[in-house]
Amino acid sequence: MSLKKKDKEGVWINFAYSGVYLKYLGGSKMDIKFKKVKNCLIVYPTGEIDHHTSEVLKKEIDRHCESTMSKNIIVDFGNVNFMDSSGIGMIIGRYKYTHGKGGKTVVTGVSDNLRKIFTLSGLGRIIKIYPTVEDAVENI
Amino acid sequence: MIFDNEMILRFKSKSQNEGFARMTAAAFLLELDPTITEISDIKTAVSEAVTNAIIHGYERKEGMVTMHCGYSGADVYIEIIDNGKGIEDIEQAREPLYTSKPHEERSGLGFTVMESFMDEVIIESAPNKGTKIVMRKTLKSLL
Repeated sequence: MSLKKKDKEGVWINFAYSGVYLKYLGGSKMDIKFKKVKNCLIVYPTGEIDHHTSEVLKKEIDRHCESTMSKNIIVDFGNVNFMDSSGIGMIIGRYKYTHGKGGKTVVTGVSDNLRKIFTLSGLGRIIKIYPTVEDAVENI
Repeated sequence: MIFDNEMILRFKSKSQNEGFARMTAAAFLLELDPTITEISDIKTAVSEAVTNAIIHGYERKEGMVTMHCGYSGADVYIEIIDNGKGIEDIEQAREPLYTSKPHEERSGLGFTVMESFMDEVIIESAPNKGTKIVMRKTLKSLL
């Protein structure tokens, strides 16, 4: 929480330091940005979500959710270009986490190439999918 | 089976190699000029199989994973082989939402994803004998 940057929509949390940057031999990578708007922690992962990167993503989301005392979690998939079933497990885990505290986990920005795995998992039955972060913040 | 082209990759059972394996499979198959959806399906299936080998086969202990890719005409074959603990009940492992590690936030969808994204998935495994997953996908864009 050492670095905060305000803009008109909210506060970027740990903008410089929470950008966890993973790089592997195949050239894929992931970084994460967080933003708090109202009582929602908005998570912007960029890159590929698999078992390897989802472990980091889980830890970082839980840590930021606690430190910002957020009730709800919004995960935006707008910049995620690959996701396997580990990502589904990660979302279900965050759903349980917020549900236990009377909050919600929702997702936004699901592109066509991720839609197949979302549909297959049946995640849409328990988790709301909004087109944009703005829609999610307004309707959560 | 005689392939038009094939390759074998062996790597340590480290989670950072999941990305490496699926990118390598995709790079190998680029020659066939598959569609983005086809390559995305194959990458996802490879990711699931390699993750299973690392988490379930070796239970995060060190071991080697082998990926064998080959194609014959429009048929792509990918084998993911580990020498880990093996699967006791293959039918149960195939069930959607079944996970042997319920406390680890696993979705239990690994085999379901492989079966949905590929045309055929064969599992050869026995306790303490390791696991071999053979997946086939026909690239319909080439037909």
